[in-house]
Amino acid sequence: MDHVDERTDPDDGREGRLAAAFVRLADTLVDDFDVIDLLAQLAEYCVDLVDATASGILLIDQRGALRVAAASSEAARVMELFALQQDEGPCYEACRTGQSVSEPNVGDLASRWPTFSARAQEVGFRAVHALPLRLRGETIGALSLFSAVAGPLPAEQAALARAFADVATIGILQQRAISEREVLAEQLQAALNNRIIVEQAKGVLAERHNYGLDAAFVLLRNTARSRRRRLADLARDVVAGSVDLRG
Amino acid sequence: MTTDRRARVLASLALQDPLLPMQERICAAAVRTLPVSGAGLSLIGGVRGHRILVHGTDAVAQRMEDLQLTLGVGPCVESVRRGGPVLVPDVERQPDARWPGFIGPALEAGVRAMFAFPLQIGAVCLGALDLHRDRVGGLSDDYLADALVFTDLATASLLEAPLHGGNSDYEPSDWLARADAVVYQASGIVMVQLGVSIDQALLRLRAYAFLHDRTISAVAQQIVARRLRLDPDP
Repeated sequence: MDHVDERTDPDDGREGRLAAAFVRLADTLVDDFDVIDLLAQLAEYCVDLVDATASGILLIDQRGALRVAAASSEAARVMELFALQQDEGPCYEACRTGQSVSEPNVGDLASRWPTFSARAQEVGFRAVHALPLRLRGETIGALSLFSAVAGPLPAEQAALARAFADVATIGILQQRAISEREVLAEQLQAALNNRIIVEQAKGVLAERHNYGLDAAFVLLRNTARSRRRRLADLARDVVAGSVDLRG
Repeated sequence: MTTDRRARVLASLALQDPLLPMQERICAAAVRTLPVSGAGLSLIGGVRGHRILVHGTDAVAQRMEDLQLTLGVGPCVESVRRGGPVLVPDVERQPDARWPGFIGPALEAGVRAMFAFPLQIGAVCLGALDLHRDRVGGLSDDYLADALVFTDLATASLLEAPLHGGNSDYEPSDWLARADAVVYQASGIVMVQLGVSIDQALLRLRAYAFLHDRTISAVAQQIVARRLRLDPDP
């Protein structure tokens, strides 16, 4: 997962960054296609361009369970909020019904989804929105957006989030059609396993260097970038004990 | 959803001869449930990561294993190396360069399709479940999901082998399928704390949770929060 930071010039203006985002997404679709890379990029764009405070993407895995596939932040408490939605909450509903779910005030969710509502408020989120990743009747997952500001998603931003979600969905399903399904299935399973390796590596680093888990992830990600290695590959080496990361 | 599927797969397992070891029952049930001709379960062990076939439902499974051991290439070898399933609905259509020397002999053995699933939990790879078929064609979404559940069961069964010792009453619980990030983080911590391998770390977590009648998730959260440290002495 090579992340090239597109947002190098803050003076670019939002329109310029928006155009660049779609060009980049289009490139991802035609080039060496990597599902997790695409989704990670998407999550970052949602934070930058849709003004979400945090965003995550959940996909329905081959067994039918909802799994976190990408998130704009690896902070433990944020990740937990995405993981919670695997069993209940806005994303689960969006996948189940195929409809967007928009909750402008998470405080109102206390009776319906008590754990989710409490955690979201603890982290400082006020509103949550979930858009299904859906094409021609098939739902493959959901895009989850959190905002620190209560209230509905403004129409323009909702449309943009919808556009990003559609690009992701089309890309994934197109890949599936081209590759007779097998490649996508292989990729999804490998990608979900790669996430597990990253979690294992976080634990190893946290214990070895006496770090918190979030700091351990930052060390892992920064080292992967500076050594130009895929995050999961480096994580694998960390767990195997064949590499040492100096903090 | 997923619990129904798992229940169905477990039911197909229960139909197998209970006196057979779990690994054999999994292979036999897989061949009955899925549109495949045969199945093989191989273990990866030892310092050099050698593979050995633990069980094969037919001679072809053994032949596929031997071939890949000799050549060092093939769908099963690739699945372990890549860390994900390798699904080949039409072996003949694969370019020879992908698995040099493998395709000819595989076709001669009557194999037309192969599906290989590594038995993995993140960085842990315990072996592989390899399915082969004498007809061209892929696995439908439904069958693929079933195959993955068989894979999960085989993984859990192998991981927990030291706990159940091949006891034929053993049925893998679903803790592994439900494990979330905190469990894996805790396994990394325990691995360093106790100086054991990561699969041993997972097993220690599991054993501790069982012994103290708590969920693995709860134990993991305590470990990650540094409120619990596992004792080096088992």
